[in-house]
Amino acid sequence: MSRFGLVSKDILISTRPSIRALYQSRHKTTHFGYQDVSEEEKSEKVREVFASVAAKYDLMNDLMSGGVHRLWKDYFVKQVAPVPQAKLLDVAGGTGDISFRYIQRLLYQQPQHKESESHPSKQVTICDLSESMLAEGRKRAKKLGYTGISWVCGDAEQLPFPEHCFDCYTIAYGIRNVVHVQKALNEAYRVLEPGGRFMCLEFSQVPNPVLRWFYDQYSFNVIPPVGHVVTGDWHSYQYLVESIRKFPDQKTFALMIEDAGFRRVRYEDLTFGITAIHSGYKL
Amino acid sequence: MLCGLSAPLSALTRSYQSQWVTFTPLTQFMAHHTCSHIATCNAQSFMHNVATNPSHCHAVCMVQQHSNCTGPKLKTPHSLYMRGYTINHLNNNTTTSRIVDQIIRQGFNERYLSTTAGAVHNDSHSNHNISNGANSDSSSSSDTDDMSGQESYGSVSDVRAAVLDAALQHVPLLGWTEAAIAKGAEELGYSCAAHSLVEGGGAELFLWLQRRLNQQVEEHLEEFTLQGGEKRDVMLEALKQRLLLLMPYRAVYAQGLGTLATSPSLLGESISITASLADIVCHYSGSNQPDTSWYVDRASVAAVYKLTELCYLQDQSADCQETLQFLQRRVQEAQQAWGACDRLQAAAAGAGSTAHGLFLTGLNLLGLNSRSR
Repeated sequence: MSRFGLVSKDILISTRPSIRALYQSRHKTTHFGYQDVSEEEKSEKVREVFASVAAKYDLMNDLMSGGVHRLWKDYFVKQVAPVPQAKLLDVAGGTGDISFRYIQRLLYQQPQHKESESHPSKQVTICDLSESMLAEGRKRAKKLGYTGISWVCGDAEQLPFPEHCFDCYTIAYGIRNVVHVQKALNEAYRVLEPGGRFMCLEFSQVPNPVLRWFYDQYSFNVIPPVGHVVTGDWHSYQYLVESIRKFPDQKTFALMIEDAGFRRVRYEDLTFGITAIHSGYKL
Repeated sequence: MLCGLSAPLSALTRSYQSQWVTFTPLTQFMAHHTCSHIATCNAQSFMHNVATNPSHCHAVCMVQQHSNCTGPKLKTPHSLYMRGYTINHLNNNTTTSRIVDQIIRQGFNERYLSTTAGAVHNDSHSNHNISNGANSDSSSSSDTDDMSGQESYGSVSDVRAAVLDAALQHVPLLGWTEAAIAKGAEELGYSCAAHSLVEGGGAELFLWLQRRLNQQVEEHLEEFTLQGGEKRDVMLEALKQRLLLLMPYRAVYAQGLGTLATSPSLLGESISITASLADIVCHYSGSNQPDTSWYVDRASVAAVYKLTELCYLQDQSADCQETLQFLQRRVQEAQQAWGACDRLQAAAAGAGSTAHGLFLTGLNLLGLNSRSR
């Protein structure tokens, strides 16, 4: 009896992956956190998640990371090393965290452009899938006085820009929400000028197993409840935490960036690998 | 069979040990960077040439180990041997020594000038180069396509080198800054974001200038030697040329030195670049003996150069005549010191036997020397 059971389990185990592959190829599923959803659904679900978190996005970021996300973003923009004549495309940068830091850095280097025609914000374009995030960003930009920014609602997989029009492409904490990451990377390659730079800031895998255990405990047991308490939305934060786990690790992602055609692809771990900065050049 | 092998092996080890020299970081640096670029075909032809001369079997041993080396495992005595000693001692085979010289210099130039200084910087956040996984900068093994409209460069290192060269022209106006590098990149047709290929920014640009000038000095010395320049004139000629090449950057040179002060590792780089200049000058001056004079000569050349550079930066005289005279005096002193060092060594060698002789004379006078009775 048990032998019969064992045989059937073996058969089940050996056929399950192929059945899943068959299902996926027919219905084109992908992951939405730990759920399997179809690709159209994922796009819609991501939009919903960000529509619901937009209002308290910054507050939640502060609570989840203990304010460290500001340091990560500051370091990221320092690595981008802005120059005044560069044109920046900030994808999935709805609330403008990266763009505003970029502009502030340029204003610090050349304060004389603050009240002039050549304000650094004129060089910045922000593209996001979610209109509510863009609206939030517009509000903040108005308060800071950065009036030259272009706000575009668009999909990272099909950017509404011609080729060779930006010097620098940044995407911070956005690429794991894209349905086809490779397509987004190919689009990034397309819109960059030769010599242009691709920079990505994203959550990544922690190599150290002990730290990883603590990080997992914190992610799954602290973040969703706090999200529920602060914004009333458990599931969005559950998705955010699960999507981090599903995203490829540093090396794999770097290979994907190379596949898109970028050269000198490097990555740098921040905070033991919780976040990683990937960079590549279109050369 | 082992007995049969032991005799030549022991001969090899004996000759190897007789040329043992002390560790020098510079040659290890040079050797590491050189040997990874020695073309296999050149090394093989060299081995063939040397193998036909059985008296040079120890050189074969060195070359074999040299051409098999793939990384920083190369030991310093080998590198020293290849760089200076082998060239001097392959008397019967001038063609071979020229080949060796060319190979080393080619590898040295390729590696030393076309890659980043300390290719991957390991700062507090560990930085990873994905393409090779090793500490090398050749991230282009699979990329051979070129951008339309750009000059085709083989590797990212070549692009970086071209950007740095283009940026040097903008330094007198824009200083040692990222703006100068960005403008250099734009000149080549690349986006200004390519300036971040140069990780160190302005300081890296300054160090690049030093390396390029060293390379130009070496080329000048090559011509000088071919046209029959005397070895004792090499030092003066080289340092004069070096200062002449600095002329366009004189006004911003002090700023450049200032950029180095931001990080101790940059100061280390700067010292190694000065050391390489000293090495080049001493090599062409014929100071290639693997003993203490190696270090003394190079240290003295480096000191002379640095002092003269400081003088040059503050020189207000017409045509920098003051600096030239200063340089001539320092070079004379250095060359006198070199001679004094040799004489001291000879005297020291004789001192032992002199003391022994004096002692025996004393014994004879006192009548205590029973042996010569």
